[in-house]
Amino acid sequence: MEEILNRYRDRSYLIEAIHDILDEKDEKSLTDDEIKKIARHFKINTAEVLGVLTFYTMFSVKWKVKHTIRICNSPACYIKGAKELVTFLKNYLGCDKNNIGGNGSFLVEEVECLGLCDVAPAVMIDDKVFGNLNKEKLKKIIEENK
Amino acid sequence: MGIKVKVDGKEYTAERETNLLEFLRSIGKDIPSLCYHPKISETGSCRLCLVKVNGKVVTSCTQKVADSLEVTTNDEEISILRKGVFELLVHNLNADCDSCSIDGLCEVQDLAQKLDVSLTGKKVDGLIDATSPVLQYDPNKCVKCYRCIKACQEIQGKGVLSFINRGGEVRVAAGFGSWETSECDGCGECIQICPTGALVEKSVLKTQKMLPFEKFRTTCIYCGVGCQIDVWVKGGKILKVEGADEIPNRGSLCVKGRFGFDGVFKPDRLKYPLIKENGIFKQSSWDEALNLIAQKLSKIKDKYGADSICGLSSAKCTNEENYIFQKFMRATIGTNNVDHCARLCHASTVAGLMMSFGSGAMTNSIDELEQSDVILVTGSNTTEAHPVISAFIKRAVIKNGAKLIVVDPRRIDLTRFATLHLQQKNGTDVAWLNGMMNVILNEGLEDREFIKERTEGFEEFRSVVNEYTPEKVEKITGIKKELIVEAARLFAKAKSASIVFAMGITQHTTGTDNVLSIANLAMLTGNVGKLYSGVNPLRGQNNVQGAGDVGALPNVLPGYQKVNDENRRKKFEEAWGVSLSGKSGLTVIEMMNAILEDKVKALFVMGENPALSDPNLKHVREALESVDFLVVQDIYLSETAEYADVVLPACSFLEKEGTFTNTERRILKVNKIFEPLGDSRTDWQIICDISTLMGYEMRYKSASEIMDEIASVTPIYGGFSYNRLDEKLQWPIWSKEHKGTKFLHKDGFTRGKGKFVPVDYINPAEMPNDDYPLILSTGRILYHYHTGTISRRSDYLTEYINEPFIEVHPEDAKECGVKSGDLVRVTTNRGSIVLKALVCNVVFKGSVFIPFHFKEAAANLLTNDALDPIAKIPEFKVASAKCRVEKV
Repeated sequence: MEEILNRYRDRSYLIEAIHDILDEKDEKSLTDDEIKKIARHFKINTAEVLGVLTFYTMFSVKWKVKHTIRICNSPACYIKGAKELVTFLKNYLGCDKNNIGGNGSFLVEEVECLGLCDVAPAVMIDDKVFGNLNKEKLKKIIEENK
Repeated sequence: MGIKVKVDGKEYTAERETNLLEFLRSIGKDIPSLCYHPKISETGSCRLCLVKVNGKVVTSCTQKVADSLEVTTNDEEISILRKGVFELLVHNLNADCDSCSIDGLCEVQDLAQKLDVSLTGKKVDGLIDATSPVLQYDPNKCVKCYRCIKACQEIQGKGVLSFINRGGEVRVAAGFGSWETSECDGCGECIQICPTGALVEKSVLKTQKMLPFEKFRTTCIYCGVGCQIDVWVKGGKILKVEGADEIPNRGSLCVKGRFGFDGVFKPDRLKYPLIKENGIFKQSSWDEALNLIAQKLSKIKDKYGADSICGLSSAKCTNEENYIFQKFMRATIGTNNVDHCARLCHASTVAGLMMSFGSGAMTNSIDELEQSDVILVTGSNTTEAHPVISAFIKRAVIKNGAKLIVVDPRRIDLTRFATLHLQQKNGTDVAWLNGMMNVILNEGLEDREFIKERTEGFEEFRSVVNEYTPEKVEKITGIKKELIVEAARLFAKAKSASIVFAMGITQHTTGTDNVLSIANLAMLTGNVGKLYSGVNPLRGQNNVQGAGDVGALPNVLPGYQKVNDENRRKKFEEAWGVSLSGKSGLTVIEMMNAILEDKVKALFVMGENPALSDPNLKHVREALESVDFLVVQDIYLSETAEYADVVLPACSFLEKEGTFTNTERRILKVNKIFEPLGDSRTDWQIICDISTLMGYEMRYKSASEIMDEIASVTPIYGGFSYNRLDEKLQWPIWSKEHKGTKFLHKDGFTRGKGKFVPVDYINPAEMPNDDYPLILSTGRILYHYHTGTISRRSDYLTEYINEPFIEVHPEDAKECGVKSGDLVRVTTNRGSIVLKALVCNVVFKGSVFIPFHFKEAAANLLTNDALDPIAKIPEFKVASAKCRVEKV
């Protein structure tokens, strides 16, 4: 982690640093201790790191899960039926109130535009993207990525 | 040059680049706003201050006055927009004003009325954060205006707060999401700037409705900054304390000033005089107590002479009280045995700067620090001991790009803002200062003109400094020679450079030498007698400057006029109508020694606590135990009062009139807000009564009358009187017309020419050895103040911290097998205490640090009472270098 941080000196690289750190980790979230280390490195306070982490939905800080499924609910995907996909997915995985399902291995998040409007509706599972979805296709992808 | 601006069809003149919103308000336009505040940078997010500029709708707070502006401040479109924006702002707000304590004091409430929007209470499910000891955050009352976040960052330089989450869930958070996990130190700047009831003091929450209440202005007692405070009072109780937006603190306060005054009114306050009979205190009447004191003191004076009586005046009391006390000792008793705790803090500053410049006070004003190009802070943990001044220093760095050099053995908070941190071994200050000056001279960076025109003694000084090469200095101090060179260049090349120092420089057996070296550095680089450049000792107690000014010192009369100067003394003999002793009196530590040598029979203590504050406490306590007659005047039964024969109840600063002189020589008013508690009386009234009983009549109608007398005998206060209080003058104030002095030594030094006094390095009185391998240093922490008489009675301050601890370096801890939280025994050859270990790298390897506020593990049982030969200041900071940490 220190090696990654040392690549970035300036506060404006906070997001890049967090990305790199999360890439190296199995659990895609940061512990309090790690947040503290990042804050100290950039000479900022922990709340500022937390602010960035909680603002960008791509950074998951709350839950420790194996996979994060991000469904786009921006206009293009919405028109193409994203809302129904969300309902389907949550039912299919049996999500709880925190949107965790599939026996604790999937977190379902509704996110803003993924930049995949041409293949709407689209989802991202971890760092892979999938487009032109319907319920059957989505079910298949989930099974393949379990 | 002003330019023309057209507002609502009328022409006005405005300064270019002025903030448009400020300008419009200055010409009487009522423009609503929420996120804008003059003390922080513009945010432009609330959109309430919309106006039309040349037909286009813009936020006026983010606009600057420029050429050919035509502004419309209100029309139908603007008012619809403002109202719509406001409705959006409050739509998710729980505006439950009826059950809110700040009902009637809320900016959102005001705006709703102005914009004709009705507010309602709503059930919103944001989690309230009440984890801070002093404040509560309610996200459901928060309008997300950014003011608290910016105030924390831009005014206080702390940046503890941030927004977290997004969309409707946005909230202000500290640390990992709750206040208790954060770096927040409770200064409360965020509360003061919050426009709603989102951030409020916990004390306020105890009141159902704050309105109606009364507001009183006075001066804070928690340090030498002299912050102006507004005390909000309801039903005879303090509702809350707010920083007054004026000189010197500009609205800012620290946690003690804002939350620490509940400690003044605890049930164990002394309410009537106490006389000790057979070892037990018994309540007495004032008549009985005062007569007893007058008789005893007269008897001792007759039998053993006036010099067998000593008095400790108090840096906590007002100027008027200190003046009366020293007059009592000198005129009534007839001795110069009067001193106060300045002896333990800045005696060496006064001695050193008197030799170099002719005046021992801070040369510049606090607000000048913000404009300095380079600030050298040494031996001052400013963030903890003078929190509001540290905010000025932090702003200098953050806002104005100043360079900060910190020279301190500990990694103090300010090092986060420093360009350079030089970590010297305790007590090696003369060496690094000489080292820096050696580099400056070698590289020809000195200010030759200043040296030639304004100073003397340069050549002799130069020959001493020549010896201190960076290599030699590295060996003595442990500071890498490259750092010394870099610091020297940075300091010498600055346009304006200010030196800030405190106890880390003065509390040494070489304290005076350290101060002389600092003065040398300032003169060598021409950084004194100028705006933004100077030598700035930060005074620790609220009125330690004033107590010295009005003569509560054994060698000088009011205004630093030497007692052995016959002409000056004669002036006082005439004014006071008695003959005065020309023999310098005893200093604090010398008094204790003289008691044990049986030379001193009586000690009169006004508002000081030597039984906890002085070094080598065992010795001090023996003296207090054995002195024939001890009188203590205080607001609580202090550790010292427990040894007393008679205890007199004084009233607190909230119950009396007077003035304090702050660290920048500014005379500030103390106002009476409450009636004296119980039978307590002001210190000056008590002393006057005793004096009158002893046959020297002292009768004054008011503090103001005493100040007039002070002014008549003290040239530096000469032009001052209570009708000039609003001017907030800084001494010297030579005459009724004189406007006071912002910075000293402008055209010439007080003594004429500045004097270079060459100084050689000498080791501290004690050095680590095989038996006691660690260096012990002592000091203050933010949450407590001195012996804790008031701060440790505060419910809020004690929630932050209420037990003694010792900072130990991780490597030393490993060697002793100590973990954080373990109880350890710390021993020097004077005593031993047991306290909790805090393993951290604030201290360097081989050194430990203990705060001195805690009586249950009094650091001063360990400290050395070896004295500086000139200033008689004890070596609190290293002398106890022999120290052993053992696990218990």
